[in-house]
Amino acid sequence: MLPEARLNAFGRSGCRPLDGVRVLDMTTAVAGPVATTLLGALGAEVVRIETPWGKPRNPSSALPLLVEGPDEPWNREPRQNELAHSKRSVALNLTTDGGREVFLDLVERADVVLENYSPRVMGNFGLEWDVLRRRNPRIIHVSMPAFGNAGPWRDRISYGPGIDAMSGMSWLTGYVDGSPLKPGNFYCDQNAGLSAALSAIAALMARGRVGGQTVELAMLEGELQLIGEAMVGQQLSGREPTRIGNEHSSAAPHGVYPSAPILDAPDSWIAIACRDDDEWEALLGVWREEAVVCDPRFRTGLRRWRHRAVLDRLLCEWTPRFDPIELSERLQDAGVPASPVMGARSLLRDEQVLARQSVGGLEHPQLGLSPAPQAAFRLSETPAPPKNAAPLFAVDTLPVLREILEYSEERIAELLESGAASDRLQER
Amino acid sequence: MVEPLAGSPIRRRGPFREDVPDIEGGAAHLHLNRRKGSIRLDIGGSAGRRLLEGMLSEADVFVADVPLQRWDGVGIDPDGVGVRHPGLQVCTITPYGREGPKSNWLGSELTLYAAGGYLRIGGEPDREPVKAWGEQGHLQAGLQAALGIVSAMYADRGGQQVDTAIFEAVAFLLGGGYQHAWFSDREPMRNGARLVGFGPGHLYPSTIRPCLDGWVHAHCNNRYPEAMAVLFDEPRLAEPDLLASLMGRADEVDELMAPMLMRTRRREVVKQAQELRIPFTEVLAPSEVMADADGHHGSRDFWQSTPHPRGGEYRAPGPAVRFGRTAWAEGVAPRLGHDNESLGSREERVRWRRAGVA
Repeated sequence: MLPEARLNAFGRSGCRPLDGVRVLDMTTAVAGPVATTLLGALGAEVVRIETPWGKPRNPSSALPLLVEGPDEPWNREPRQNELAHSKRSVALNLTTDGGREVFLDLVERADVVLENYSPRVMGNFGLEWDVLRRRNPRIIHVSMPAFGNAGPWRDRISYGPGIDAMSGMSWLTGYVDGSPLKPGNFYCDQNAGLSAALSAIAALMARGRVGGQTVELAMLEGELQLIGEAMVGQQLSGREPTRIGNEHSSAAPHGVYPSAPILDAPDSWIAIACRDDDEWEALLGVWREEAVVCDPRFRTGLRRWRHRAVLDRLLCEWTPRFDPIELSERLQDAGVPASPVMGARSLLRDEQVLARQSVGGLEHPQLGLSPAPQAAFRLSETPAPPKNAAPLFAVDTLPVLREILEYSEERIAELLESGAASDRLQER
Repeated sequence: MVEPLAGSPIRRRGPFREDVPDIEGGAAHLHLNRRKGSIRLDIGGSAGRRLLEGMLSEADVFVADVPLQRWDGVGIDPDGVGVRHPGLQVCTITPYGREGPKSNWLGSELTLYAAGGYLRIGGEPDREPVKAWGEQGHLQAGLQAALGIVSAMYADRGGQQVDTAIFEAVAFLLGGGYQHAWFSDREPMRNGARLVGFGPGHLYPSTIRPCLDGWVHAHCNNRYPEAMAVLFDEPRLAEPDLLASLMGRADEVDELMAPMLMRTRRREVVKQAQELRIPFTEVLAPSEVMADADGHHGSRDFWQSTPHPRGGEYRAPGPAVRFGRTAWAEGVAPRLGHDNESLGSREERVRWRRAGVA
């Protein structure tokens, strides 16, 4: 049985790795925001530049207003809540001279500009590399185009799932007898976001030697690293790699099997992986199915693999009798890698997730405690969990203009009046 | 790489050239061990451990991906290493992390993909969940570990312990799934090739559909969804009722796209779509990616031709990132023990070899 879902608020970290670093976040969709949430959690002050009309926000799917406050659905959009934590929010209209000048003033006081537009967009804003560099020779400009800033596909457009297709990842993912599938919802984006955060820090580390520089992370080239093994293998063997679903290339049983429901979900499963004779013997110690133990088809690893379809069928008859959590514990105790097929609901109740605070809570002014996953590493001296919930729209416009840019009240009033900057959502 | 005398297990992973097993020529080794050196050393004994300690005293980072249960057996002691080498970043990559009630659980790629929740959203709704190809959970954990290491180095607070959990690298991928689970106690059902977790009013398509000579990834233009009607010469795709509920009527959208797709080749579908600024892409097999029909990768000098240890060359992915002023290092995967000559004097190496230490 799983306990109730729990969310423990992330603690404050005294010292984070990127304290003192300022990032201007011009990202959209998923990949770029993943990079900047990571940098924010690591301690950078991430100033998210939003359009005054809040284009990326989609109020139609707003989460329920849980605490007293104004009903501003654009501040409770789940994707925004997921991808803007650990940041500040400033609204600038970069198509105006005033908004562009504010941005360039921020560039002078920043360390990193990170964007994931298609290659022509920064030029359309008049914010290409030479312009940024003239204002701040130490600035690092991270761009994340889909296909790269040069090459025949430079001006093609795509989101992450389209890159999955172009990289070979979708072609390789799927059931043995099925069509290509996506490797996840936004897998390419998550990978590119991690790589961009890593690259930004690498460039910061090199800054003392070389000053500012551009960092180009083509999402496609980032994802091709993940299937390089298949590409090299294809050249060595002369065979096109194929979809193998959950199977192992040489070991069995190795699959996902139905189980008794958890959390009242009929869609419940357990993953079991036997990679060698020891793990097979350990499985038999729990399974105790005489017909299986004595079956010569399963006597060696090679035979088990050849007869994996039979093994899978037999396991599918056995595993539904068990709660997948209890069966996983029994199998683990015996020495078999096994796990319930978790989901977001069960992870919020999982003892390991709770112990490591893999997912913790951030206090949002309109939602109350809001969940966020933290990165998969724990630093002993400079812990870096997510630090603040997604900011309300444009809540930091005035503080940034005053405190970072030290603009006069007159100038701020002019910027607001002209629409170059905004401290609230505007009609377009 | 500090490898056991028999070589790292990754060297035994095929495919191999002509299917002949070869510890110098497996695909995983040739791809994932590029840019490294190799020290062949038995760290199970005291002499080997002394040599390892000597190397650690000159290193910046120590990374070990040995499961926690085997630390004692192979002589891995991250906390002790951290104490003896206070400036060293000590990174471990383990299935469930160093602490917590499951820290001793065994993990494989499949079971960790399940434990991290990402497996659940892959596959058809009426079949078992299916994971992404390859060892994506492990690869993501590797990236996360690298991020943790450079963060610790940048922090400049002396050596740190960087405790990386593979299941957590997978759980990180779920992203917004936790929002729905926490606020409404629901989670998305896997949805075949379609995006999961979006309501009926969300844009569609974002899916993989068959066409005349394979598959395309069909994706709607977020700004101008009605452009789909032009691409498919199908006015029903621009009807307001449909546009208001594209995801909710995904089956209908698939049917309306099908006639044009089934009489048109991938390249032509994508060409027409991109001309309308609709982000369709081809679904390519690995060999097609490398064939690079449009010359995109070639024009960017992406592929790295690398000598194969048994002769000839193979191509592997080149830079993931292009820095304006600092180079991306390339290199070949090392032969087992290639760098042992950097250890000690010639006489010492002879002694260590005779003793089965290095």
